[in-house]
Amino acid sequence: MTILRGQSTGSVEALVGQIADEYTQRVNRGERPSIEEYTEKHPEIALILREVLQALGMIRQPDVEAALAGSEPYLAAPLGDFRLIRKIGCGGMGIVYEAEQISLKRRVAVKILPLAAALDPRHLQRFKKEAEAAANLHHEHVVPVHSVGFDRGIHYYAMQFIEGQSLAAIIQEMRRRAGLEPGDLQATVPYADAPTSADPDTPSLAALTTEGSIRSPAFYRAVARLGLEAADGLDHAHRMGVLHRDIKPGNLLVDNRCNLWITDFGLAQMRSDARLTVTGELLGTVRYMSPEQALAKRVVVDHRTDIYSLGATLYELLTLEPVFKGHDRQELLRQIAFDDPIPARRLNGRIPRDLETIISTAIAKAPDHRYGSAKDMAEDLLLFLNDQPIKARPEGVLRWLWRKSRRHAASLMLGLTAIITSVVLSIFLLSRNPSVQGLSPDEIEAKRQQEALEVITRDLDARKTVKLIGEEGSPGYFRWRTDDSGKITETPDGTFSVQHWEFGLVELLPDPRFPCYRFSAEVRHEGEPLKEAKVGIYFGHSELPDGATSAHFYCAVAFNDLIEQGAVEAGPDQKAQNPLRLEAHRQPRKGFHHVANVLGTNSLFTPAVALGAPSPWRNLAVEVRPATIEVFWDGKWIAKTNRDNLMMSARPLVARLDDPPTMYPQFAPRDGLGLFVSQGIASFRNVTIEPID
Amino acid sequence: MDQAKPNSCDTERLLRQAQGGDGQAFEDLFARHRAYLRQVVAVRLDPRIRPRLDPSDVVQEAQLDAFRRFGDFLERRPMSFRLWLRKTTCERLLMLRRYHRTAARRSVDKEVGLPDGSAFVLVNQLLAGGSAPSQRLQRSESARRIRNVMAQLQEADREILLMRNLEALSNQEVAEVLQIEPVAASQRYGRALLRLRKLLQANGLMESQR
Repeated sequence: MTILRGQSTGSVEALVGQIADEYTQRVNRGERPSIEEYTEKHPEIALILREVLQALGMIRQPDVEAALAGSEPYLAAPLGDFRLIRKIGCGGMGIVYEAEQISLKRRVAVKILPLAAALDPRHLQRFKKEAEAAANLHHEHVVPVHSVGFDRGIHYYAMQFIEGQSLAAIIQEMRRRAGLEPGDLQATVPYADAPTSADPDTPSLAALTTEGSIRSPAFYRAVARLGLEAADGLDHAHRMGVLHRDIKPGNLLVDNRCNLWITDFGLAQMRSDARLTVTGELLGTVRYMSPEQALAKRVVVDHRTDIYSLGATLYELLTLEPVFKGHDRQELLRQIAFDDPIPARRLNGRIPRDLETIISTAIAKAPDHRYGSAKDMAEDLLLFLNDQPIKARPEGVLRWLWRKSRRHAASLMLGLTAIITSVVLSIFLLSRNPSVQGLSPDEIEAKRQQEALEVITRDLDARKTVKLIGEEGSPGYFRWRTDDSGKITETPDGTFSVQHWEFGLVELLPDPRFPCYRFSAEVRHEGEPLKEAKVGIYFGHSELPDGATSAHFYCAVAFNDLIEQGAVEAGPDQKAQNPLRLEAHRQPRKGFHHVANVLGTNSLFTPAVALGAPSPWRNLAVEVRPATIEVFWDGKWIAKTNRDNLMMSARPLVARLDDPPTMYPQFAPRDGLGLFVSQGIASFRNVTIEPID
Repeated sequence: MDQAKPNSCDTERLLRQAQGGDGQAFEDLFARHRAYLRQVVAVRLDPRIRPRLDPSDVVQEAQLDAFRRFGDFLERRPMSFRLWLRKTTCERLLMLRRYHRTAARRSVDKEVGLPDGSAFVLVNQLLAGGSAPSQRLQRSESARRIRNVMAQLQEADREILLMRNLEALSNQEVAEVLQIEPVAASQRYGRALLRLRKLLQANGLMESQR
């Protein structure tokens, strides 16, 4: 190395590094510096510098950068008999490639199963057995499995290549066209590459989505036919002793001739064996789980779990909304196990009643209430398609009531103690009604409350103003929404009175039915003058499971009429505080309560009560719209705020390391509303709700 | 001497919003860096692991990590946001790599590899039947060979070449990542380039002008 004479290796490296640094920086800025410029400036290392900068140029060629970044899916060597061509999708169970089966020169889809590597030999054996059983299914609506293999440390599953889209991609695309948020389906799409790959030109999509809207009769028939094909495929598998266990939109493919194919038979067990979850996949999988899957720790399920999941998939296809919308695993599992889904027809009133009945039968909570077999479901779908009466019956009120009262027996007991007299009366009156004979007192109370709520709902739907509490007496429907340590009584003058020493919410309406409404109440603040006392009304209440307890979010318009009487105790700074407040409450768990006064401290006037005077009746009202909230006091407009302001107020000031989503609640106008009492006693009368524009 | 790139105005504005309690700001911040992080991961995934692990999955998990540590970052501001995300992502990648290697119970180690895109590129180009397929094939063949040369480099050399060129980090930023003086970083860069040149020549990809 004659050229380097007199220079240490280190100093050459340093000099080359310095020059290359500058050169690289210029290239990174988008310049194209010439090599000569540098070799002329540094003749002592010209030769070596030229080569180094050339080498640098070589690794910066776009092709090389692309190869380095691995921006292309790759797989150099074949996997067993399969040569992978391109990645076509990626889902919970693995990545799907389009591939060629070398020996037969046919096009196939190969699914790489990363989880299989984590299985112990016993589970691996079981997975193989299941996969082999699945490979023995031959049905026109089941994707044929060619082989299950292991090569180069990779487990894979080769199946027929279906040219088309998964229902997940189709639902996604329809949501996009309906102007809805994408939802979480993309995390679970195992076949279609990405939401955007739902190419609207493919016939499967076109047939479902471009011909009119999801409100056209043709669409319902198309959904019913897809459901029929899926039920048919499931029935075949079930008769062969194979359960799917993971039916969901991502596992139902629709080919270009609009035929439906069920894929991924025999894979679900692997996940529970591997006890692993893949990022992003979990929710999508949980969302379509049957209640028995959601409830059981050691899953013992039968073929009716697949019927449920198929029902849940069809429900989503019809309404473009999942049956349950929970945002985390805990919440979803709880909803699946305990909550009643919103009837599909409430989300889309054009859905034929029989089709809704078929789906609600399929997704019944108890397996015994579902179709006994996939064949029965297929038959009903066929009857529907032939415009003949179906066999399933809508759930009767009594069965609903029976379920309801069993499930909520505990909470019903609470309301019961407070209004025991009316219950006794009810028993007396209703016992003469043959339809309720044999019901227990809490079942009768449940029925009475339910009927009251139904009347309210019906009147609201007709856009009538509804009196939730009249001039005196108790509401037809109510229940505690926070802990029940408070007390509900009727005062001597016959008004409905609530007392609570923490934060008491008495729900009067779980859903106001319209996003725009005026909610007003006459409120009288009573009891001891406490500076912390607040009484009023609340709205926008949502409850989310958070670990073992629940997180609550709600807004309250509340005041303290006794504050002036307690002013001595309150101290000077208390004067600046408005007794009338619009507050956003966030209670992530019991014992922690975040309250933000949304309107600030100076925007409201101070209600004045003369010392020692009896508390007056105050008229509180809010007008709620999706984006705005307006507050009224004794008929006068007081203040207005918007939804964002409300939600921002409820958030923690600084995002913390481990904030759960419940720290960032969403305000929804159609969430629950009712009476609010904190550290005090209040009477309520003339409580009304009125749909507005 | 170049300076470490400070946060851009936008990034700085979003960071301040985040500090003020804006939960959406983190999402926005992360979204700006997602493509970059994906690339950082993609070049560092070896081919045996690649079918088990998609770079996007790594980035997604890194996002959770970053979200968890975000409060700490806002308090201390130890480095620019981009470098901090890069660091968080690389740590997550290391963990996942370790996990997947163990899970596979196959020694994927030792064999330094970079993703091999050739099969895909070849098939694609054959199928596409573009204007000058033979020339393109040649180009992609030489790209593949250059990539293999990169794979033969020692990890430290390869890392610094990737950081300066593919990631377009400045010398100062590289120094921060490696926790060495900028002078030492530039010397290492020089050393890596000298070695790259030697390997390219040894593989017949570059003429020696001696």
